[in-house]
Amino acid sequence: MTSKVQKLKQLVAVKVGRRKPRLVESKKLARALEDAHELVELRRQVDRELARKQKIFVDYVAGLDVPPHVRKVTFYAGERQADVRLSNK
Amino acid sequence: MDTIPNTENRVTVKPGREKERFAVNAEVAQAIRDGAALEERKKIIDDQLAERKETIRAYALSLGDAVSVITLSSDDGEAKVTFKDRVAIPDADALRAHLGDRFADLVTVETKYKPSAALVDQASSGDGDPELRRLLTVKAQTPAVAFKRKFD
Repeated sequence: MTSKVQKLKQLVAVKVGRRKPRLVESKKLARALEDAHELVELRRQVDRELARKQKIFVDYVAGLDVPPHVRKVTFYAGERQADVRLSNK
Repeated sequence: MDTIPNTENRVTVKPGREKERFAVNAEVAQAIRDGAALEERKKIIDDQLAERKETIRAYALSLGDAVSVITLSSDDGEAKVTFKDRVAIPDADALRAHLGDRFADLVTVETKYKPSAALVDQASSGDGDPELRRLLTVKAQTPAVAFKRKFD
Protein backbone atom coordinates (compact mmCIF):
# COMPACT_ATOMS: atom_id res chain seq x y z
CA MET A 1 0.00 0.00 0.00
CA THR A 2 1.26 3.49 -0.75
CA SER A 3 2.00 5.48 2.39
CA LYS A 4 0.77 9.05 2.85
CA VAL A 5 4.33 10.35 2.58
CA GLN A 6 4.89 8.45 -0.66
CA LYS A 7 1.59 9.80 -2.01
CA LEU A 8 2.62 13.35 -1.09
CA LYS A 9 5.88 12.83 -2.95
CA GLN A 10 3.92 11.95 -6.07
CA LEU A 11 1.95 15.19 -6.04
CA VAL A 12 2.75 17.89 -8.53
CA ALA A 13 1.17 21.34 -8.58
CA VAL A 14 0.25 22.24 -12.13
CA LYS A 15 -0.34 25.90 -12.96
CA VAL A 16 -1.63 26.52 -16.44
CA GLY A 17 -1.09 30.13 -17.50
CA ARG A 18 -2.55 32.42 -14.84
CA ARG A 19 -5.09 29.92 -13.57
CA LYS A 20 -5.05 28.62 -10.01
CA PRO A 21 -2.66 25.67 -9.56
CA ARG A 22 -4.18 22.21 -9.18
CA LEU A 23 -2.62 19.10 -7.66
CA VAL A 24 -1.93 16.15 -9.90
CA GLU A 25 -0.83 12.72 -8.69
CA SER A 26 1.83 11.34 -11.00
CA LYS A 27 4.76 9.24 -9.88
CA LYS A 28 6.45 9.58 -13.28
CA LEU A 29 6.13 13.36 -13.43
CA ALA A 30 7.21 13.87 -9.80
CA ARG A 31 10.22 11.64 -10.38
CA ALA A 32 11.13 13.48 -13.58
CA LEU A 33 10.98 16.80 -11.72
CA GLU A 34 13.08 15.49 -8.84
CA ASP A 35 15.69 14.02 -11.19
CA ALA A 36 15.74 17.15 -13.36
CA HIS A 37 16.51 19.40 -10.40
CA GLU A 38 19.33 17.11 -9.26
CA LEU A 39 20.73 16.93 -12.79
CA VAL A 40 20.59 20.72 -13.25
CA GLU A 41 22.55 21.13 -9.99
CA LEU A 42 25.09 18.51 -11.12
CA ARG A 43 25.43 20.26 -14.48
CA ARG A 44 26.14 23.56 -12.71
CA GLN A 45 28.86 21.90 -10.63
CA VAL A 46 30.44 20.40 -13.76
CA ASP A 47 30.26 23.78 -15.56
CA ARG A 48 31.96 25.52 -12.63
CA GLU A 49 34.67 22.86 -12.54
CA LEU A 50 35.15 23.09 -16.32
CA ALA A 51 35.45 26.87 -16.13
CA ARG A 52 38.22 26.44 -13.53
CA LYS A 53 40.06 23.99 -15.81
CA GLN A 54 39.58 26.22 -18.86
CA LYS A 55 41.12 29.17 -17.04
CA ILE A 56 44.30 27.13 -16.53
CA PHE A 57 44.70 26.84 -20.33
CA VAL A 58 43.78 30.45 -21.00
CA ASP A 59 46.41 31.61 -18.47
CA TYR A 60 48.98 29.20 -19.91
CA VAL A 61 48.35 30.33 -23.50
CA ALA A 62 48.61 33.98 -22.42
CA GLY A 63 52.18 33.25 -21.31
CA LEU A 64 53.11 31.54 -24.60
CA ASP A 65 54.71 33.26 -27.54
CA VAL A 66 51.95 32.44 -30.06
CA PRO A 67 52.19 33.98 -33.56
CA PRO A 68 49.25 36.34 -34.32
CA HIS A 69 47.90 34.20 -37.17
CA VAL A 70 47.40 31.18 -34.90
CA ARG A 71 43.73 30.59 -34.13
CA LYS A 72 43.97 27.35 -32.17
CA VAL A 73 46.37 25.91 -29.63
CA THR A 74 46.07 22.18 -28.97
CA PHE A 75 47.33 20.51 -25.81
CA TYR A 76 47.92 16.78 -25.50
CA ALA A 77 48.52 14.68 -22.41
CA GLY A 78 48.47 10.96 -23.15
CA GLU A 79 45.24 10.18 -24.97
CA ARG A 80 43.54 13.37 -23.89
CA GLN A 81 43.34 16.60 -25.82
CA ALA A 82 42.32 20.19 -25.13
CA ASP A 83 41.81 22.83 -27.82
CA VAL A 84 42.04 26.52 -27.03
CA ARG A 85 40.42 28.63 -29.73
CA LEU A 86 41.69 32.18 -29.96
CA SER A 87 39.30 34.51 -31.68
CA ASN A 88 38.68 38.17 -32.23
CA LYS A 89 35.32 39.60 -33.09
CA MET B 1 65.19 17.55 -30.27
CA ASP B 2 62.59 16.59 -27.65
CA THR B 3 64.47 16.30 -24.37
CA ILE B 4 61.43 16.46 -22.11
CA PRO B 5 61.04 13.17 -20.21
CA ASN B 6 57.95 11.15 -20.99
CA THR B 7 56.26 11.44 -17.60
CA GLU B 8 52.55 11.75 -16.81
CA ASN B 9 53.07 15.53 -16.48
CA ARG B 10 54.46 15.89 -19.97
CA VAL B 11 52.34 18.13 -22.15
CA THR B 12 52.50 18.58 -25.91
CA VAL B 13 51.53 22.07 -27.03
CA LYS B 14 50.71 22.61 -30.69
CA PRO B 15 49.93 26.22 -31.71
CA GLY B 16 47.95 25.93 -34.96
CA ARG B 17 50.15 24.40 -37.65
CA GLU B 18 53.36 25.48 -35.94
CA LYS B 19 55.83 22.91 -34.69
CA GLU B 20 54.75 21.23 -31.47
CA ARG B 21 56.51 22.07 -28.23
CA PHE B 22 56.87 19.96 -25.12
CA ALA B 23 56.65 20.97 -21.51
CA VAL B 24 56.30 19.45 -18.07
CA ASN B 25 53.43 21.06 -16.25
CA ALA B 26 51.50 19.03 -13.69
CA GLU B 27 48.62 21.53 -13.49
CA VAL B 28 48.05 21.67 -17.25
CA ALA B 29 48.47 17.89 -17.69
CA GLN B 30 45.90 17.26 -14.94
CA ALA B 31 43.57 19.90 -16.42
CA ILE B 32 43.65 18.12 -19.80
CA ARG B 33 42.72 14.80 -18.17
CA ASP B 34 40.08 16.34 -15.88
CA GLY B 35 38.66 18.50 -18.65
CA ALA B 36 38.06 15.54 -20.95
CA ALA B 37 36.45 13.57 -18.10
CA LEU B 38 34.25 16.54 -17.21
CA GLU B 39 33.11 16.91 -20.84
CA GLU B 40 32.09 13.24 -20.86
CA ARG B 41 30.23 13.72 -17.57
CA LYS B 42 28.50 16.80 -18.97
CA LYS B 43 27.27 14.80 -21.96
CA ILE B 44 25.86 12.04 -19.73
CA ILE B 45 24.07 14.62 -17.55
CA ASP B 46 22.70 16.42 -20.63
CA ASP B 47 21.37 13.16 -22.08
CA GLN B 48 19.68 12.26 -18.80
CA LEU B 49 18.29 15.76 -18.40
CA ALA B 50 16.93 15.69 -21.98
CA GLU B 51 14.95 12.53 -21.10
CA ARG B 52 13.43 14.17 -18.00
CA LYS B 53 12.64 17.34 -19.95
CA GLU B 54 10.90 15.23 -22.57
CA THR B 55 8.67 13.65 -19.88
CA ILE B 56 7.80 17.11 -18.52
CA ARG B 57 7.27 18.56 -22.00
CA ALA B 58 5.04 15.64 -23.05
CA TYR B 59 2.89 16.10 -19.94
CA ALA B 60 2.56 19.85 -20.57
CA LEU B 61 1.59 19.20 -24.19
CA SER B 62 -0.96 16.57 -23.11
CA LEU B 63 -2.86 19.28 -21.22
CA GLY B 64 -3.67 20.80 -24.60
CA ASP B 65 -4.15 24.29 -23.21
CA ALA B 66 -3.45 27.24 -25.45
CA VAL B 67 -1.28 29.12 -22.96
CA SER B 68 2.31 30.24 -23.22
CA VAL B 69 3.54 29.00 -19.82
CA ILE B 70 2.77 25.91 -17.72
CA THR B 71 4.42 25.69 -14.31
CA LEU B 72 4.92 22.38 -12.55
CA SER B 73 5.94 22.44 -8.88
CA SER B 74 6.95 19.71 -6.49
CA ASP B 75 8.90 19.49 -3.22
CA ASP B 76 12.11 19.78 -5.22
CA GLY B 77 11.30 22.99 -7.02
CA GLU B 78 9.63 24.29 -10.11
CA ALA B 79 9.72 23.59 -13.82
CA LYS B 80 8.38 26.10 -16.32
CA VAL B 81 7.36 24.90 -19.74
CA THR B 82 7.26 27.80 -22.17
CA PHE B 83 5.56 27.44 -25.52
CA LYS B 84 6.97 29.63 -28.23
CA ASP B 85 6.48 29.84 -31.96
CA ARG B 86 9.26 30.99 -34.18
CA VAL B 87 7.79 32.86 -37.10
CA ALA B 88 9.92 33.40 -40.18
CA ILE B 89 9.39 35.20 -43.48
CA PRO B 90 10.53 32.81 -46.23
CA ASP B 91 9.49 35.13 -49.08
CA ALA B 92 9.82 38.80 -48.15
CA ASP B 93 8.85 40.06 -51.62
CA ALA B 94 5.58 38.14 -51.59
CA LEU B 95 4.80 39.43 -48.11
CA ARG B 96 5.67 42.99 -49.19
CA ALA B 97 3.31 42.66 -52.14
CA HIS B 98 0.58 41.32 -49.87
CA LEU B 99 0.96 43.91 -47.11
CA GLY B 100 1.63 46.89 -49.38
CA ASP B 101 2.24 50.10 -47.38
CA ARG B 102 1.82 48.26 -44.09
CA PHE B 103 4.99 46.21 -44.72
CA ALA B 104 7.30 48.90 -43.30
CA ASP B 105 5.22 49.15 -40.11
CA LEU B 106 4.84 45.42 -39.57
CA VAL B 107 8.23 44.03 -40.57
CA THR B 108 11.60 44.85 -39.05
CA VAL B 109 14.38 44.81 -41.63
CA GLU B 110 17.93 44.15 -40.40
CA THR B 111 21.14 44.34 -42.43
CA LYS B 112 24.15 42.61 -40.93
CA TYR B 113 27.74 43.18 -42.02
CA LYS B 114 30.16 40.47 -40.97
CA PRO B 115 33.91 40.49 -41.71
CA SER B 116 35.18 37.43 -43.57
CA ALA B 117 38.19 35.47 -42.26
CA ALA B 118 40.21 36.92 -45.18
CA LEU B 119 39.36 40.48 -44.13
CA VAL B 120 40.33 39.74 -40.49
CA ASP B 121 43.64 38.29 -41.69
CA GLN B 122 44.30 41.35 -43.86
CA ALA B 123 43.58 43.71 -40.99
CA SER B 124 45.62 41.77 -38.43
CA SER B 125 48.74 41.19 -40.54
CA GLY B 126 51.65 43.34 -39.35
CA ASP B 127 52.22 45.15 -42.67
CA GLY B 128 48.49 45.52 -43.27
CA ASP B 129 46.45 48.52 -44.38
CA PRO B 130 46.18 51.02 -41.45
CA GLU B 131 43.02 52.56 -42.95
CA LEU B 132 41.42 49.09 -42.96
CA ARG B 133 42.27 48.65 -39.26
CA ARG B 134 40.70 52.03 -38.52
CA LEU B 135 37.46 50.93 -40.20
CA LEU B 136 37.13 47.78 -38.08
CA THR B 137 36.70 47.36 -34.34
CA VAL B 138 38.38 44.39 -32.70
CA LYS B 139 37.21 43.08 -29.38
CA ALA B 140 39.34 40.26 -27.97
CA GLN B 141 37.21 37.40 -26.69
CA THR B 142 38.05 34.96 -23.95
CA PRO B 143 39.64 31.98 -25.70
CA ALA B 144 37.27 29.02 -25.92
CA VAL B 145 38.59 25.73 -24.53
CA ALA B 146 37.30 22.34 -25.73
CA PHE B 147 38.34 18.90 -24.54
CA LYS B 148 38.35 15.55 -26.29
CA ARG B 149 40.16 12.25 -26.42
CA LYS B 150 43.11 12.27 -28.78
CA PHE B 151 41.73 9.47 -30.95
CA ASP B 152 38.08 10.55 -31.08
